[in-house]
Amino acid sequence: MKVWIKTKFVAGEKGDREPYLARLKLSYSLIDLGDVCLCRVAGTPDQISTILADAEITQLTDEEARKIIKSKHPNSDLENVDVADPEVDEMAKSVGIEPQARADIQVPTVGKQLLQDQEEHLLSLISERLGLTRDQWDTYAKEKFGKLGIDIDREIREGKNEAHEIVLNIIREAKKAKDAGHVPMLEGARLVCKNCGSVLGKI
Amino acid sequence: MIDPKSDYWRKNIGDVVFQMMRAPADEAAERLQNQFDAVEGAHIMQDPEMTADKAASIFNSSKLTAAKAASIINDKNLLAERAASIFDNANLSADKAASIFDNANLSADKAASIFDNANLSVAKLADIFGNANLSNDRATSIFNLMTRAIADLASVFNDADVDAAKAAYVTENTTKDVADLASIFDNANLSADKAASIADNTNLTEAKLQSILDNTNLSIQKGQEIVDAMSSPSKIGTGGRRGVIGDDWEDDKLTSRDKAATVATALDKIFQKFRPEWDTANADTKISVESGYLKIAASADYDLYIKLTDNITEGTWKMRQKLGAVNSTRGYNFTLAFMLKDKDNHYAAYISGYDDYVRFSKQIAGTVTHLIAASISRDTDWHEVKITRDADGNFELFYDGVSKGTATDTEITSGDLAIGQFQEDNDEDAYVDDLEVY
Repeated sequence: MKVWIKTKFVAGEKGDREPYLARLKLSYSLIDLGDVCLCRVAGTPDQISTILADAEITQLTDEEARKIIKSKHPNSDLENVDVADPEVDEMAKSVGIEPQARADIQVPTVGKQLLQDQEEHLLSLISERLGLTRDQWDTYAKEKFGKLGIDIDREIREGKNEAHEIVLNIIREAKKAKDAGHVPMLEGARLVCKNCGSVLGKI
Repeated sequence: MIDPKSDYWRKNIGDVVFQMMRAPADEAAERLQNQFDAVEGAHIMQDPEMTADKAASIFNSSKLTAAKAASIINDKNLLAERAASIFDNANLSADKAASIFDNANLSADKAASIFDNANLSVAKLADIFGNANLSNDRATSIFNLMTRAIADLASVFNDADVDAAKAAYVTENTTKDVADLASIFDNANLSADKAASIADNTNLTEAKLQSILDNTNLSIQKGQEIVDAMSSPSKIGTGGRRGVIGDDWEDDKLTSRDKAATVATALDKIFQKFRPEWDTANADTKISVESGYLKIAASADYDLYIKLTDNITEGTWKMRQKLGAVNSTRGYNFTLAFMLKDKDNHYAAYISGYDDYVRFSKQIAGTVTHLIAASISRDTDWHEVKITRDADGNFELFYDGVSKGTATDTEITSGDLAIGQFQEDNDEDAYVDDLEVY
């Protein structure tokens, strides 16, 4: 799970400047804003809940993060402050996919950085392994957002955290359902069991 | 003129050849120039009684113009293999031969078939090809049509009679595939030194040279040997298989380096500066090379580094890094420092020496800020650490080919390259190999 936050700098173990993350050791990327920083943090849902519950930390939307990035670096955007999500790697491992499969993608979408392309690739592999097809994603995206699945892919490639989280949330729920013996599939805006027809999780 | 198909001709050609064989070369040449047309001349020169020695002497005579000689050579009745034997003969000078090949009366097709024929030795071919009487454009036209073995073409380019300017002109302007040119440059018959002088020559553009260096028919090894020998290696630029700085430390040295021709390269690109001379003023005895990699010995010091002046601000910095142990709780490493003003002001990418992270950090006036911190599982295996930066200060950190994060920072705008230990003491050795900047 990834999230945008604004937080203060604190002294790390070696006296270095690192973002305050409620004393958790997480993966992050940041833009130095002086005493504070814009930070994209990655962790498990529990870890992210912990840091978001901290009064010193402010959660931001994609749009709010973009405004800060643009104010400091006009030629940069959301994709330029991003971090690989370890939860995606863990999810991949749990369905039998080696996370290093990210490295299958070495040529970035023209004019963009590679992280999002690699992450979108791994999310696609996990999704396929869970039985969620491209057609299902299309019907989901159409019913939920009036878009196609490929639009969500594009938004992930653009570094939009919200798109990343939409996909990862569905994958989380599909994995849970599969572990419980269901055969998950997207039916419109719902995740259902292909066998018993029951609605699975909240997406 | 006599019809060479006539009975008269068939009956008398023997007499003509007989007379020419016994006449001085100038006299025979004068007869060929004035009494016979190209078809007849071709029959005379093709006749088995006409020796290659004599034919060469006749073609070499000033009494026979290059234009007339070219017409005779061009005629279908004088076969390419016979013409090749004549041109190969020592009695025909390269000057005259080149003038004949340069003449428009000899088609490029026929000229190429003669150049391709095994009866013309590579040495004599090179004499003619490199001769000033054969223009660059004409040489290129013939070269375009040649199908001679790559090894022979490489020998021609390598020959002292073919100057670098001409070889460069032909390389630049030929319609042959870049893959063929890359094969020629790769061939052992073309020395790295000669290939380098061709590569340096202004007749060969940067774009064409770069396309050859990028072609996989040219091995990285030979490509590096060529660039090592170039006087203007920056001409190779960057992109494709080309980079700015590369070091594999296979020569186990930091200074007075052995280049690729002496110790083979282990890198997968061709570099402008390969195995550079490192500034070791801050290396103490703690940074050394052994068994083909760089060792940063455990030390309490934290300004140990080797440095290279480069001022590269855009591109990719890549290395392989290995930790001596994973139980260390000390030391940042700060191993690969770039855009370095001094030991207290620079960016750095590294596997942390004290926790399970790969990081990209900056140090400004001695204060460290971690811009990207991505969790990894530390071990003592070799891992690739790579960082990229574009003109807008957008960085991306990779670990074993996987992007671990992106960050934007523009606080440092220029500086050099350094490898070592910039922060705190380390209680374990660290190792670096295969540095690439491109």
